[in-house]
Amino acid sequence: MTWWQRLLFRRRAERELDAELRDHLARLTTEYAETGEAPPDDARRQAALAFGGLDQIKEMCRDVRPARALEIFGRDVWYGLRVLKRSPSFTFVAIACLSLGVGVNTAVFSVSNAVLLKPLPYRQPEELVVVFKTSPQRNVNRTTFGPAEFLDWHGRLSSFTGLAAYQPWAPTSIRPFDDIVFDSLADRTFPMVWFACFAALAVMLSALGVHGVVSYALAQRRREFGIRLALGATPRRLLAQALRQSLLPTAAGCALGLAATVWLTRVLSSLAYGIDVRELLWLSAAAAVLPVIVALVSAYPSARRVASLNPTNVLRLG
Amino acid sequence: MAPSSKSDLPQGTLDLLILKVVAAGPIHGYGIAQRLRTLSAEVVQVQQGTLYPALHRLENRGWLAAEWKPSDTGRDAKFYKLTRKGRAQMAHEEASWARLAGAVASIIGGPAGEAP
Repeated sequence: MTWWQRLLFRRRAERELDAELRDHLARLTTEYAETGEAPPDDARRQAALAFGGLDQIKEMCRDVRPARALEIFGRDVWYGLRVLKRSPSFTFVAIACLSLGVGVNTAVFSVSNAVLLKPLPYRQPEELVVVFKTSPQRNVNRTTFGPAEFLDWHGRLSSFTGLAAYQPWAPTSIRPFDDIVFDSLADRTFPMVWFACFAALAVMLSALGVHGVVSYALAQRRREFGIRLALGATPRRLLAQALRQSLLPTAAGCALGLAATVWLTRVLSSLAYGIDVRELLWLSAAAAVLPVIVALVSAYPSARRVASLNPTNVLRLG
Repeated sequence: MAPSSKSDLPQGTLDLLILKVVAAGPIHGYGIAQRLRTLSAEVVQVQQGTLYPALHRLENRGWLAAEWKPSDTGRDAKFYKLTRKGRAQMAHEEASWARLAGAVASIIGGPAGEAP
């Protein structure tokens, strides 16, 4: 069996391992009985003693499997899911917390990005200008002019590649079109900035929520970890397991959050145009990375604490 | 058997010994343990807790191939045989072992005062 077959057909690998070791034990028993190294009625026991602990040998054989880490990872995830199922309210709070944080933040950021930060959706937005008609002597500064004036300017165009007019708006001073758009959006920019601030706050709050929920959940399972330690689990193993299982609700929350983003952005994009879906995906990914980091960072101290527990104390005091 | 008559295997030599025994033809775990014991005149005794993880590791690396075949007991047993990759590895380990053993022997048994 190759390593991936062993991973996929674990039951068969286990059966073969058991059969192989038992075959050895049987041969050893026969040897002891035949050579007279042990009395016939005691051969089996002597062979078993000489052979050593079947389960320990099996465990050592499992440890040399190349996909062992993957195997353990899968088992931790499965176990983590069962723990989540056992405490549905915890699961709900953790997931709701994160999906709100990720969803709202990504949506708000992608909209404010399109409105505030990104250049206009034209090929060379910095070359777009608005033409003003100014006359300081007569205190004139406007962008309106008659059709005859437009046709006149349009016919003698030399500085620009094109000139267009629109209702309800003539030419001696020049301002970048971008500035004008920005001015005209000023009344909408301000709320958007506030909105973005609140979104950032939302992410921080959800991070705080993740931290609380993760450390609480680990503290609740002190006894379980104590028993595992007493049974011989290594602190390293428990640490890895605690971290993986803390990431589980985080991952679920982020996934839900991303789904919420798509919907929220559609609602918010009525406030603005030019929202790029591909860009949105990048943003979502970035917004989802943060909670995962937060979950890892906040789970780490708690996980270390449970992994370095003294099993005796935990079992005695509960 | 007095414990003093047994020697601990130097790190990494078990792999070479297993490859060498298996090179003689398909053989199961029990057979390998027995041959190691008899060939070394009872000096080398490998615990099952060492032998089987080593066998499985060599199998995972592709140096040994395993096959379940009917055996003399009537039950199927897992027979190991050397792969081409395993044969190359064996030659490599044999050479490096010979180099090391030669060096150690000359240090231990070399005539005194021959040092440069």
